[in-house]
Amino acid sequence: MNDMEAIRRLKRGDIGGLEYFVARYQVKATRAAFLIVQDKAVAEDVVQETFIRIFQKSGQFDEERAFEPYFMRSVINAALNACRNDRRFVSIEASMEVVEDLISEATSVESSVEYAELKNEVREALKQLRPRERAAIVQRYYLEMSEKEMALTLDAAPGTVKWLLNTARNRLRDLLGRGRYDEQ
Amino acid sequence: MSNKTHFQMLDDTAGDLIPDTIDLMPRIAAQLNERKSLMQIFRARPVLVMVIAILAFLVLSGVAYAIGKVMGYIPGIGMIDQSTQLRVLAEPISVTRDGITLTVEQVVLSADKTVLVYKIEGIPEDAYAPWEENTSNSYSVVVTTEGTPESRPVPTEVTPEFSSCVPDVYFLLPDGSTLHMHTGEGTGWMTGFENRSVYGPLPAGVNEVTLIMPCVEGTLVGRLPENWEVPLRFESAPSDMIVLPVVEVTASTSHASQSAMTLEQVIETNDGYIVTGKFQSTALPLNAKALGISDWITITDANGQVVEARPPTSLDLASNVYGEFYWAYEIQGQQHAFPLTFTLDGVSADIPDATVEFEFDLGADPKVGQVWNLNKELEIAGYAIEVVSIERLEKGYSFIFQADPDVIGVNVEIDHMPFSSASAGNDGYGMGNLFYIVEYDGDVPSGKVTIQLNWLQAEIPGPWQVEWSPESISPTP
Repeated sequence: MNDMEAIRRLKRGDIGGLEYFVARYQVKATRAAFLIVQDKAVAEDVVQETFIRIFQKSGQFDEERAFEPYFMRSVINAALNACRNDRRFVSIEASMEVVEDLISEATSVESSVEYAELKNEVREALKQLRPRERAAIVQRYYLEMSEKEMALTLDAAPGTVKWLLNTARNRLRDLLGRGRYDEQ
Repeated sequence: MSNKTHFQMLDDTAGDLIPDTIDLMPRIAAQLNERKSLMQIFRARPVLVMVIAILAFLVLSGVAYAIGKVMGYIPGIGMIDQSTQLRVLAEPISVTRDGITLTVEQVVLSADKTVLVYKIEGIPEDAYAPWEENTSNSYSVVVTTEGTPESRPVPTEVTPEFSSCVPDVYFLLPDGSTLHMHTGEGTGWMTGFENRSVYGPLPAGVNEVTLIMPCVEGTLVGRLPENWEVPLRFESAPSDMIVLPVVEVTASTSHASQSAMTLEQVIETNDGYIVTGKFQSTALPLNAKALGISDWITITDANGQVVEARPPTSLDLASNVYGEFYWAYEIQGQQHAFPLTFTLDGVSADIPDATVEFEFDLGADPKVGQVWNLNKELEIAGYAIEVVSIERLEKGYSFIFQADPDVIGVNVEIDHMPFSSASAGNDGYGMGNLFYIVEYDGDVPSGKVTIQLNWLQAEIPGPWQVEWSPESISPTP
């Protein structure tokens, strides 16, 4: 089965079409949501609700349209909404210094131990970013979306996206250590 | 470690807490299954099977209308279970904020569902995302002046869904629990829309809830008032509320394939009938699994005259069984030369077992834009299909096919390699022009490969027929 076939089944109300999409995209979607909401249970809820909403709205879906970009955009939107509705995700400007300190400390990842540590540091650093900045990171580097696609999802002008992305990209690049990771 | 990409780094970071083995489907299925169909209830409760058997007997003995009120149909609301006291919205309620008016028009609460009908009015045009071109991965097959079909990227419309609100409109109960939508439908116009949304049943003792609408569907987030909260109060339905009986039909016939097409239910309305039926893939050739009708069902009377009919709304007919689908028509008028004959001329179907493969040498280093004009003729599941050409794309390949006009889609695999994305389409005019695009995350296949065509989709001709008359349901000899 491919996405188009699954969409057709989805449009017929066939849950087999949904099962296909869940099996194919649930891990990537949940990880993307998690990177934004920073909470496993919330991330799972976000993805679950997005799948259900797509199943319920499948009659409106254009089967000629690629599913994954549409679905992932929906996940990002739902994750941002989850952040918006949760007081834990209020912007914490004061913590930016912590991020900067962490960035300067990340110098190399020569071993698996260091890599594991760096992952933890990245996770912690991501928590310090605003939800929209995290979303920008996820969309550009995890979902590999273009800036135009990001502008659509974030409901922001392309210029705003560039600014968001530059801010987030610089933090991420510094965090990961210049030269230690290949640019996409 | 130094070769890790940003994707891998973030994937690993999230993967520590979100394992590859995560399985959301049971939770999703559980939530979807809260809306149990009548048939599901019967399967789960053998005693009710006996009840339906008795009902079937009464249908055939002509006294069905007397007892058929277990299930009822309310125009604009849908089919509801009447086994408990129906409740309705005490009175319509409207809330206006910044020129946008939300009106809760109807709520009907039955034993099996809650149906909400609400309307939004006053949406300014600039609240919607503008339509513009984008360069997404959409292609169409066009026929060149030389008569050769080829795939070309085409601009697609950016729908409001991409950047706009898709609200979860739900009920907030007094105990803090929530009731979320299962399915729905709607109609829209320039400045507003009306939605009919179906939820699970509300507990019997709950007569006051709050309707929560986070934002206005389809509009740009933040552009219009958000976080709507509307208190609703329910009361027992008035005794004169119109609930039409739904008669379960148990006998039906089919000319083309035994039992493939059956009648399910009949509702007598003020000015006609609503007839529902089901199509099962029984006896379809090639183990095909029907996906839906390929053309409208035609209804003719005993004199062969076409009877005017249209698909009804508010029925929420859906099957969870692969290869099975429901259909329904609302027949205009009650005076016809019965019996009426429902004729389905064809269905679109999957043929999962179909497969054919061939070997092809893509070369050691195929270049982006390189095209191979194969004109290779094959046969799959008895259908002729020609591989017209293959083109190397940046991340994969596109295929152009010219197939039997009944073929509407085909899947392609190269050396059975897992791919990152695939899209397919046809000309939409039944001319057999097909395309398939497959892309890969990592290495794109090259060299001598085996290309397999499988999982064909085709239109399978009927006809299938079933007859019906209001007085009785009699098998066709």
